[in-house]
Amino acid sequence: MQRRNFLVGLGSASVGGSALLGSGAFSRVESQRSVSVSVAEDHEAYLGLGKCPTPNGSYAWPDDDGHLEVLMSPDNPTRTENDGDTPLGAGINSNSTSRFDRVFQICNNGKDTVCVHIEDDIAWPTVPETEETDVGERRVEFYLEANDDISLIGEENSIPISVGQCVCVGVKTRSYGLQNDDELLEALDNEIRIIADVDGDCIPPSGCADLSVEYESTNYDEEDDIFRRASTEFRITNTNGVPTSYDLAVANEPGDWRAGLSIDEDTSQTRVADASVPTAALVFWSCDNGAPAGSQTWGEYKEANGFADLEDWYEQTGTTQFAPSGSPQDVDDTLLVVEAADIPNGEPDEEIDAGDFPDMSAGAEAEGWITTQKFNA
Amino acid sequence: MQRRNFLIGVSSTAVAGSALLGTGAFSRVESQRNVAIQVATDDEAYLGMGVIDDSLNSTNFAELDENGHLAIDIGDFGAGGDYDYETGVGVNSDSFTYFDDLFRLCNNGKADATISYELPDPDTAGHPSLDGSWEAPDPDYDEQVVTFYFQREDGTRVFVDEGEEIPLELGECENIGLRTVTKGIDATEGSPLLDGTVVITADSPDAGEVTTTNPE
Repeated sequence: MQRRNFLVGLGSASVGGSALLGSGAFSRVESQRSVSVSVAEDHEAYLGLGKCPTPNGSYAWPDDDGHLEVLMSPDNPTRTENDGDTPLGAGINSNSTSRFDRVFQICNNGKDTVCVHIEDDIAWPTVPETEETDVGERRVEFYLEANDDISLIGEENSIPISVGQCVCVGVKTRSYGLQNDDELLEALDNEIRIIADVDGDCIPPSGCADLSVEYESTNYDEEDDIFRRASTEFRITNTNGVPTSYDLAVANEPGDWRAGLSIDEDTSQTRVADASVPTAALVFWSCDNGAPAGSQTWGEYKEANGFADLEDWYEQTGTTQFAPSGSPQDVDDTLLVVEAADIPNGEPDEEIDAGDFPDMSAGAEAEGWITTQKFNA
Repeated sequence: MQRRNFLIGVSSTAVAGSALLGTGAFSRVESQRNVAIQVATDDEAYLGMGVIDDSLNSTNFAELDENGHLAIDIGDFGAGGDYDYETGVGVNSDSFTYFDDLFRLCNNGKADATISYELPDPDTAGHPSLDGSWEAPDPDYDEQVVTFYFQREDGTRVFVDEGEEIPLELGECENIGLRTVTKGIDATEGSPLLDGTVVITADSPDAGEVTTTNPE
């Protein structure tokens, strides 16, 4: 098997005033003119490849021909250039997961925004079923910057790089079941293909909101010196720098469904649900790529907790045994979901005398219920 | 199989006063690049883990197995060996036992790191006397039955609990010891105190941080 890479640039050839504008990819070069063919080194080519300006950039090196290589091996020049008298190891540890954030960078030195990805391969090695850890996961993952959730492998994971911009690529390795001298990408001849396509269809890997929801307090309405419980305040918190819209589902008394709510980045807000004796609450939001670590999709949540659909969730977690009229039968399985973990047991006082308000009964407060007036005081 | 990729472009040479404006225009580039990621023996890997040659504890109880993995076997070190006395087969019960300089950890990466470890599930990998945790079964003791430690220059042992992080500077090595606490362990069970996999984690967040100097 033989693979070659050619990068052909037309140098100062005697071309008249007409520019050769229509450059592009093609499979055969046949030139009748006298040309000097120059091959750019990777860092100054149109698709610029180079080390990241990080310590981990040491794992990437241009080879003798100026082509960038990732060398997590004894051949890494950082290791060999001082007669091996450097701390850099000879390779990755066996039986391990290793992450190397920001190893090499891809720069767009062209004229248009490009979509960039690393070509997937049916032979891409994965951890075999005989292992106990990370079965089926890729032996080597390439990811964006320091976000190992955001894979760059496969056209569906293309990211845009605008003109003059560089992005760094991280490398994650899983060496379970391998031993000394094994090469993780041997099945790919230790080669990857980086593809930059002007005509590609890709969206920025903005990452996603990271939401949580918690019970905050119970609202009461006053009527003839009696305060009656009316609704519940939930606090929704977004700890990521990405705004999002979301849906809030609350089970019981009656159940409540609020769709199309929105929250800004890195902030928190309260939302009122009509349920005054909430037994469970979920928040749903969408995430196209870059799901926060530890997040769960609705599909995963349903499977883990034995719910058939959203209606079933309302019926099982609520005591009124039916879903609110406005809620859908189900929502998309790919939505991320998080549940309120802190909803107190029992229920908040149904009525509070004006003389006692804003205190609830000691029993209810011991469970964790609190009136909004007292919470805000 | 043969694959070739061609990219043709126009360089920025000015011709007859007018620049070739199409510099760098391309519609698709496919670049194949070498990625060599090789597994090293533990003593040579980025997180170096190896035997300390001048420590009897290390040469007796730690070794790189045939796959290059560091393994610790505190059992009958005389088994198969040439000893003219009856070798021990394990740690004493109802005791604190210290193995100084059992193995060496080295930071062979690219930036300072912190090191921590995680013990396996005590129910499956621990002695039957344990009750769902690595804490010594004897209620008078709250130590882990197996604890790693390092030593200061004056010899003081600094014990590191599971999950606790200790620093390991770039290029530095630390000799790691192991303490067993067998208070409340029933030695007649004939079961190992710990038989399983310990996960050692090195975290080096600075290695991926952008710096102003160029990497080497």
